[in-house]
Amino acid sequence: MFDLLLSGFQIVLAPATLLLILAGTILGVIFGAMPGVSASMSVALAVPFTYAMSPVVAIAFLVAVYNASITGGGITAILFKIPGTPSNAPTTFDGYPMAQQGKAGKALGVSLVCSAIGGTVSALAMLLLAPQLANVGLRFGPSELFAVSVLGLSVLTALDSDNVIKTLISGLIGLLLATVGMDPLLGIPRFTWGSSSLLGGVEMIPVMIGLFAITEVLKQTSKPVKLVTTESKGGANFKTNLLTLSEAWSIRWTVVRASILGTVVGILPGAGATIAAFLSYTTEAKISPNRKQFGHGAIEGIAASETANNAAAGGSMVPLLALGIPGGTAAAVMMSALVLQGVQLGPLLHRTQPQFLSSVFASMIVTNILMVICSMAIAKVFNKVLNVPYSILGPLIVLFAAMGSFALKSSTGDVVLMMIAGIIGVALTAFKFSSAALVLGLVLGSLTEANLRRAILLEGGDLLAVLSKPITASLLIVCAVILLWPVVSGAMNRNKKVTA
Amino acid sequence: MGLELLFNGALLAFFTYCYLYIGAIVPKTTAVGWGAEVWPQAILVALIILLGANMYKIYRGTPVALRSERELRPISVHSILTNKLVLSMVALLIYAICLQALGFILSTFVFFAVYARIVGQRQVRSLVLSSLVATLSVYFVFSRGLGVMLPRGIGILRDFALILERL
Repeated sequence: MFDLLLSGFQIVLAPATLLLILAGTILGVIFGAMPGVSASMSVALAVPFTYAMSPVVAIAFLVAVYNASITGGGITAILFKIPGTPSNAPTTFDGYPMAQQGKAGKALGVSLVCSAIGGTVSALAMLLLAPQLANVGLRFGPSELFAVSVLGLSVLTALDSDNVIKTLISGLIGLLLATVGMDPLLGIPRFTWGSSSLLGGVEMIPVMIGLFAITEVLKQTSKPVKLVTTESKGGANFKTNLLTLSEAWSIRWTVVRASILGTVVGILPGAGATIAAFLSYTTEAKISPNRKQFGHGAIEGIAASETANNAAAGGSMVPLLALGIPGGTAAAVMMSALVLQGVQLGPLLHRTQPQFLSSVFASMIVTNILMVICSMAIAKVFNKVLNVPYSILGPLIVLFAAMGSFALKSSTGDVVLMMIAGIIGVALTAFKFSSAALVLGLVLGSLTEANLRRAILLEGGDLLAVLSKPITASLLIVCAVILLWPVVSGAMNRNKKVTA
Repeated sequence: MGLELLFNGALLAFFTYCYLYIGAIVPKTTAVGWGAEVWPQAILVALIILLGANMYKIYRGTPVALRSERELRPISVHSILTNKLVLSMVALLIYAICLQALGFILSTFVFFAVYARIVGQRQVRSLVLSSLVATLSVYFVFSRGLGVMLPRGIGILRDFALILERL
């Protein structure tokens, strides 16, 4: 094991490789910070650079881009309420309020440190447990994955415990939006009303950018709130404030839980960083001692989301390297880049070319350290933008959001969709519905339906057989408890008041 | 209360229509497994029930004295035309719809200037300059930096975009 580690660090600490990892980290943070450029798109954009590299250096470079892009997405999520990648969406819930309170530097500091911890924990998990974890992940069939999706949905009630009905309605609207387009199993068009542009379904990223960024710009347009960008006046001496020891100690359990959850969810095929971030955020919103502060600028909220999404990024490398199965889209892009170079990924890789596993591990560790330094510098540049008057900044945000949506499929239809989502977001906010719940429903919708229907098909149409599988049943019981807890605790509190 | 009930009622009516639509348009469930209509119908049933419950909650939560208060007063055309939020929404939609036909450069330049004016920028020189800089910066970042094919527009606008791309 020690030899393996040493060989990994020998590879990535060679000056040329280290320089490439640094370049990949900077590239990743910048790509990630651009709205609409997802982590997988960042990796895809970086693939052409790897043609001239050796396979081991290529994977180290791509891993650097992937990890850094997820972290970079947190910068714009905190400063502008634009999640750079979908997995940074929960970061906006507490990061943006902190920026509004003049604590942008602190929010960024929490985000960067927690991202680095999440990435490092998943790297360690990858090295120590890759084959075992991959085997556990493979035991998760459609019924178990359905239960995992429901677990993600069950935390809906935690997003706004004062408006449980409205939050559930918002989540269900998200689930319904996810059914638009071709049915995942039979290919039957649903809710398309004869329009061919709706056949592909409702794109997640334009809706997300619309609901978060455009809604915020529209709100600022009608009722401007001066953004207090930094702790220092005018932002001239903007500094990313890393966590103090007491702050780090206070969020230790949040970081531990988010790291484990993120790594495990990352390993599951088809799940990924977005689900991990939402799952972790909502879990913490339920159990954190500081849960009342969630949504108003809690550092635990940022820690939960950013630790989990980076841990999931590392987790998704486990099935890729151990079994040759990509855990997500970005991993699939990496796999194709390696296959182009003639590398055969799979169980034999660990025995025949152990330097792959060790170099990925070492590059993740190095990237996580470089990422904090690079992101601090890049965040400083982004923060300067906040000093621009809102009459310029507002339309500029709309412009970046529009291009981010357009860049996905080069379709102006996605820009229209984003604008409509933004306008609907204003109505949802006005009537106290939850945009976050709607996005959660949209993210998990297709995964939930596809896995449930696949599981039913495999069991010959027997729903009970699907639900009574041990792992599925256990997860569903946990879901029921989480879902019903706010209702039960609310009723208990009312009874207490009546008795008193 | 009135406006909120109206919003919820509109959603309820739309989702009821969706329930009937999906039932009529999609072939029925196959012998093994669920058909394409079952999952959306299950969601729609839950939505209809919850919206009904929400409307009841809104009605019960409003004090009796306020239930008969008229919230929907006649709205003047002038107030709509001068409302910043309405103007911003219209500007966003027009920009999104015209992007394909007018091309990125012209539509973005005009949109940026109009939106900055709505938000509060008064100086014409500043409006023109900021619109030009923003349009060209975003164009070069996405078109040249990331290789995204931005809309070129039609006719003469397309020719202009092609000339710019050759530069």
